[in-house]
Amino acid sequence: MTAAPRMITLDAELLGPEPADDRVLRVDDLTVGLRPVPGDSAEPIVDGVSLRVAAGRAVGLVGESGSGKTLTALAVAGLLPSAIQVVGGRIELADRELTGLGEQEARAHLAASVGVVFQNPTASLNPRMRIAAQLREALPAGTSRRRARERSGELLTAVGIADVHKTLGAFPHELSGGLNQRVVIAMALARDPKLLIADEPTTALDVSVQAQVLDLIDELRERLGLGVLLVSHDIGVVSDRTDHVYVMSDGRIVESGPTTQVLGDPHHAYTRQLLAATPSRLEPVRVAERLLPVAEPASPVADQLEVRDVRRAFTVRGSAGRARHVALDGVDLTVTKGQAIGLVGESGSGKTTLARIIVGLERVDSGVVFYEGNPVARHTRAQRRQWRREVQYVFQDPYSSLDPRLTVAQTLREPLEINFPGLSRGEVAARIDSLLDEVELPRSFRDRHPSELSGGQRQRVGIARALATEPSVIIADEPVSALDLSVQARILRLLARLRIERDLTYLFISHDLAVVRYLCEDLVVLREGSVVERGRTDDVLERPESPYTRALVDAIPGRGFARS
Amino acid sequence: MDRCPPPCAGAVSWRYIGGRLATGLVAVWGAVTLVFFALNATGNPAILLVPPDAPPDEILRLTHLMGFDRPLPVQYWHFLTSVVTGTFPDSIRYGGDPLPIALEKIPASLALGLTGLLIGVLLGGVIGYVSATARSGWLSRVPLGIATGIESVPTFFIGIVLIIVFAVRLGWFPVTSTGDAASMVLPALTLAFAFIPAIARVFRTALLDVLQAEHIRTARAKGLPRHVLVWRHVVANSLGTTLNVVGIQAGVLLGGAVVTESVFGWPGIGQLSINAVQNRDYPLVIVCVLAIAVGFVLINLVVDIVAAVVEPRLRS
Repeated sequence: MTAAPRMITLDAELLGPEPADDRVLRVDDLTVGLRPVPGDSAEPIVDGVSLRVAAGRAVGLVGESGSGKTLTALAVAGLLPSAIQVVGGRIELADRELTGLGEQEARAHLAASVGVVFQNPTASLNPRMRIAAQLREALPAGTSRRRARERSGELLTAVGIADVHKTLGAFPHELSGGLNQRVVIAMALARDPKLLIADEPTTALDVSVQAQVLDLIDELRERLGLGVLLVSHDIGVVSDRTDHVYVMSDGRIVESGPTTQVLGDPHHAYTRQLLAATPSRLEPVRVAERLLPVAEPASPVADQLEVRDVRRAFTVRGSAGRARHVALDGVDLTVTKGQAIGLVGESGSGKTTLARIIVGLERVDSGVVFYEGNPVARHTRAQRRQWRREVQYVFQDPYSSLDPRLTVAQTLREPLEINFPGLSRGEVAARIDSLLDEVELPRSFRDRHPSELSGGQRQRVGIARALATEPSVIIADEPVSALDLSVQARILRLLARLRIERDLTYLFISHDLAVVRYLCEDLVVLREGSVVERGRTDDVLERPESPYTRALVDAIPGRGFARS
Repeated sequence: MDRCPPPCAGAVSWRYIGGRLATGLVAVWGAVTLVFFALNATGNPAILLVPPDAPPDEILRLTHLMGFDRPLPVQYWHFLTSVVTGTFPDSIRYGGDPLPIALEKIPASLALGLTGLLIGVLLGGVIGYVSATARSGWLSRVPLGIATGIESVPTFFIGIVLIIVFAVRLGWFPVTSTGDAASMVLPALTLAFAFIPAIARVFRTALLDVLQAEHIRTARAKGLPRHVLVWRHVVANSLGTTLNVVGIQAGVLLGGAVVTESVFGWPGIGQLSINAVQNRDYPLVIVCVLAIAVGFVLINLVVDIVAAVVEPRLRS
């Protein structure tokens, strides 16, 4: 984003005098529902939504999953899945009523006036077509080959891609997520749209890349006079990037208004609840004794886990042959009993590899992992069993980390039977009940399968499974990043409570500094396999020493909002 | 784009082809080894080569002559050398080198197999596409159901039914093959029926997956004409997995060829191997198995290369 991008085409009307009505999108009483099956009146999924987007303005649409915000956006863009349709209401796009148009005409008008950017950039691109071919498709039909090549180059330059030639010749899987999202934005701009719909455009991206992509959208909005509809669950992003916001819940808009006003002084109970769940608004948990200066940091008794000069590299096969990717480049880490350490870094920083090495899911190339003072590689059988039992892992994705065929009780029974073979059937059942109590799940959930649980409930089962072996260390790899805000806040509180009740040691991996700030007193920042900074979380976030940490802290969206 | 820059250079690398070929060689080695030991396990092969009333010393003489009395590893070594150098013992039935006898039959088998494959892929593709995209429940279930029904009927039976209906009753095609185009229709159809259902099912699943993919939504957002959307984005992305199944089904094709060729009297390598087994023509059996195994490997190699062309992620 350093070189000033060339201007791309500006429409004559935008250069001319300001039109009286600069509204690009007007949605009135939009209702979206399942395609009616005879004899069945389905409830609307989006119910009477009205919103406005003006040229050159960014409007936020906020809500949790299932609130209908994405379906609203898809309905406007004419991209609803075939089972779902617009049942009622009006959509007026760039001064033209959409709802009355024939299918062909509507599609042409949509293609010409709306650009869409989706959440997952790499999946949004056709995996078997080069970028050049995909961009060319997005250009207006009948563009000559030569002109298409020029335009593609211009568009990629406009979205801040430096090596245009290389990008045009690449396949999506050969580019990073950030680059792919720029390509998707370039495609969305290819027909000079009036409206840009961005559905969680940065959720799948790293914090620093996220800021760059949002900056780009801001810049294009100002330069091209685009109306932007930003759909997001991230209050921080919405607070930074929009002028006006609509809050959605259960298919309805519950509150709307200027962003500063709605976020600063929410009127609806749901908005208040949503804001309170934002991790940057949560009061950090600080266990008093842990904040005292550690008397003897080197005392071997207190060291529960130690990682000394661990290195690990992977061989990556690329089209250019094999390459070595260094995941960990000499990392030292000491975890003392009762500590909660946050391990922060962007994707590719090696944080997950480190966690997997500590629990023995991954081997080291060199270096030693100590558990309670003994190198893991030289453990006796009994020590190994103890290490396996006492160090437990909570996985990121509660959807794929539970066996879909096992009931909750079976999932919890397994670790109990393996680690405590002396327990009778009744004792096992009693333990399962108390584990469910501990993670605040009703005991009646015992016989449910994962498919019958929500994301938050599944993650509670994942935590209960980890607790079943009576561990002393919990390694949690992004345990809340797949969850909605309010669920995330509840799981975080649960983790904070369990830590104190069970006197647990936490190694908490996250890309989200706000989440780490809430739960962990200590912080380690990883970058490209090396530790760049470590210290007390509050100190590091307040006064980051390394430029990288500072950039990371600065890139957190919604910092103004968090302080208010 | 006309020119491809370095990071994606070349469509399919020689390294990729080399790797596939090496895997194929292992498969060929496995096949001939299996045949060697299978023939040995059934007892002294020399007994099969002499008339049932031959005197014991005649058997002994032949055993010694053909080296069947030597230790197994030595025999195996000799056998492998003969496979590698292509010098086989003389065919018992026809006399002379068995290799040219087998090679001579390959063009006819290849023509039949490829025609069958083509018909199968086309029909299977159409059925798969219809069942994945049809709005009506009828179209989405009935063709696939019929195809699955046919799959459960043995190949030879389908062949016989086709002969009775189209050759005997209707007289559209000759009953026994002469090797020309008209006589190829029925055996090729018979072969095709063996893998239409598998291809239809896999293609249907692949299509349903791709239709759900996020990049289809992006393509729809571009306002592309329907045929571009369907061919370039939906169908092309569904070919990868389907091609893999085509490769696996090539085995069915070769196995089916043995049966189909005998039912229709098609002068190909399948019929030759049946005759060789019936005649106890041990050297010819080996050569036929070798030819079929090499054919299987080559078909799979071609399928792999085509798959890498349509699926860029496979190349790296």
